[in-house]
Amino acid sequence: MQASSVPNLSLLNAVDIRVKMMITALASVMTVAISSLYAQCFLFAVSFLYLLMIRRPKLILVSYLLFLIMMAIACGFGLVLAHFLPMMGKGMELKSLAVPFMRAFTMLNVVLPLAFTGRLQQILNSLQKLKLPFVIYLPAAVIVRFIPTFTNDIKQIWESLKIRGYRINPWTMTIHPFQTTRLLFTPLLIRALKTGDELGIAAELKGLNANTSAIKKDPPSFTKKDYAAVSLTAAILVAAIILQIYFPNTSPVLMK
Amino acid sequence: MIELKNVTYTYPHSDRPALSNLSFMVRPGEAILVTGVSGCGKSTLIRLINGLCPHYYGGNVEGTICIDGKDNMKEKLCDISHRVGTLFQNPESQFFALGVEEEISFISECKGVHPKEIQTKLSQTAERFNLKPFLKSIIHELSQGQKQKVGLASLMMEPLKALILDEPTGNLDPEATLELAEEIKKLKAQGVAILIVDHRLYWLKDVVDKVIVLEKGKVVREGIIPDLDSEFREKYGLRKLEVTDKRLLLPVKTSSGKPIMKISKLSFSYPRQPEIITDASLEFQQGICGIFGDNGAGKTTLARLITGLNKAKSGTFQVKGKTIRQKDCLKHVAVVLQNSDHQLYMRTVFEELRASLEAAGCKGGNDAAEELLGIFDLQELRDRHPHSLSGGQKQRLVIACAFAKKPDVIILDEPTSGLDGANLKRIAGALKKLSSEGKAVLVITHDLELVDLICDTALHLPLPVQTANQPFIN
Repeated sequence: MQASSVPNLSLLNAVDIRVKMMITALASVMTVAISSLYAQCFLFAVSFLYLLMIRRPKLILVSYLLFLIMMAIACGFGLVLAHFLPMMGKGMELKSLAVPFMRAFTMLNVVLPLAFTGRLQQILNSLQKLKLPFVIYLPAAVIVRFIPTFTNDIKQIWESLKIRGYRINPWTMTIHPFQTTRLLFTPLLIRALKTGDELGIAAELKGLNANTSAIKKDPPSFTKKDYAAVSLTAAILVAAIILQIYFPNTSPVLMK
Repeated sequence: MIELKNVTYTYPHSDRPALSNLSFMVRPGEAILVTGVSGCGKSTLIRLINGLCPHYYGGNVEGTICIDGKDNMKEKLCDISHRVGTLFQNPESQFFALGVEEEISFISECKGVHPKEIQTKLSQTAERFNLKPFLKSIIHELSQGQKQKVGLASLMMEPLKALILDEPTGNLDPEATLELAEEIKKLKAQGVAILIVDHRLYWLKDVVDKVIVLEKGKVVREGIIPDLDSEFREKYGLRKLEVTDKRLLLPVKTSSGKPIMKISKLSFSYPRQPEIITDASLEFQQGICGIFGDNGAGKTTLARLITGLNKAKSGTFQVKGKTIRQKDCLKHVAVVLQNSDHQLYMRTVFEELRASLEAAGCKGGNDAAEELLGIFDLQELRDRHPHSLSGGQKQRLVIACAFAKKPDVIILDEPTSGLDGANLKRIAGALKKLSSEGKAVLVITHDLELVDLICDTALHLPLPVQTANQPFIN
């Protein structure tokens, strides 16, 4: 591959990593705390706009497709369970699934910008400054770092399937479900395990440990963009809370 | 200083030691080469010295391993890593950061070096390794050779007592290899103890002070490189001591033969970047063509264009005289890229080959799979899980899978990187056989030994612009 000497033009690169971490943390708390479908839809919509700012349409598409596949698998297992245990079927209605699925998408929308537009050392420093123990902040940093590598692996696995002549489409998935699953998930699983391992080793061999000191300079002051992002986040949270208060139940359409 | 005394190491859940009774010393300012066939224990030795064994992988160590006088067993992994740096064979496995600049400065930042000092060192190191234009790039977008340089540059940011280089030239072009040899000499002069693990011997003759040959975890020879006579090298599967650089001596085109694949007016650029290929025309005949160029010259990009993995801005593609769409190229062309982990799916080596044959629409899959096992010396591994194989074995398996497709054109990207002499000859033999069957074989390689063994023609990158009077490039 040819290296790009053109830097990523995402506006989010100019936003302080602490702001992006705050957005991620707040989004995770809010999306769990809020039960209203309207509020969830609102959070999803604004977080999706935030995600679009990374300017990686293919990445977004692939991530969404993966999430949809995972959700489809979850629904499939749910339906099988409901078939044998009808009591379980109650949880399989659209209104029951919409909110948890929306939560997952909202989290995806805020984690991807953190992973793709943040410097790892800044993330580590910010986590250290929160006085988190090493056993918490190293895995947290590894998870953030894992995402770009894993998306790159997905791309390479897809290409490898094409090269080898394996066809993955709805037809092959239907007539050869086990083989298709094997083709997709064996390298994915192996790579996921290896990547986790390699990142752990890389961190250790670079001397990253509990005594690693943060960069010996004061963190940069917030810029106008950072203050704007914080203000906008606060406004969005207030709006979500208002929606939760005034529309506490799920959508009337879905309730019917 | 690196010192091993009577070291025996056994991996967890294994009853056979991976290394037995190993003793040697690398003094400050000294460089030692460790070589031997794949699976002889070189990687385990590296892991013992940098502390990954047993601190990360577990296992049982007997004897003592000291770095700069301190016993590895009594030290934490992070403390060991402050004294010894490791450059891995696969550079991707050592990166923790995502960007080039961030990765190079990561160790210094972890050590708490002042940012101003980091900036100064970063600038100097980037200059030294020709990485300045890529400082703002994402590591995944670099070529393998460039990644290798980033890995080395990151180690050079902070002073080290000892340095381990695992197949450091596997992805470097010959010119960059010579530069690396000079860097090693400079480090020796600075008093760094250097342990190099490599199959390629030719570039190390004037660099290392001693060579250790391993077999099945034991030392079979300790001496100097010129002592490794041809009989010994043949017996232990080692590579040549002298290699002729034939890249510029090879013709660009053989005199006879019809083209198997023809590409006209090929243009390509990455998003938001200038064109790297402009109106180039290429022709590939039966035979083995080496594709050469500096690290990052676009060799892999060309392979991806020929196979349709990257979409060309313009270009006409013909196979055996018939014009095809670029996206149909993969029906006629097989490609082996440098990511074997991503290409293995089945439960056994045999199933992997049979599945590849089925995907290619070949009948009589079992017999053909057996034949491929024989060609690539994989019979003993037929029931092993593909992901449990060593790097070299995986490499042979993915090449065998590409052969299964019976393509008109096959492209191999660094097929012998990290392979010992015996396996290099095996791959070379298989490629020659394929070529003799009327196929066009394109080999992207920096391995001068492979070039010497098999290449008939050469294609040098970057590609010049096609002019009216100029015939096809290759």
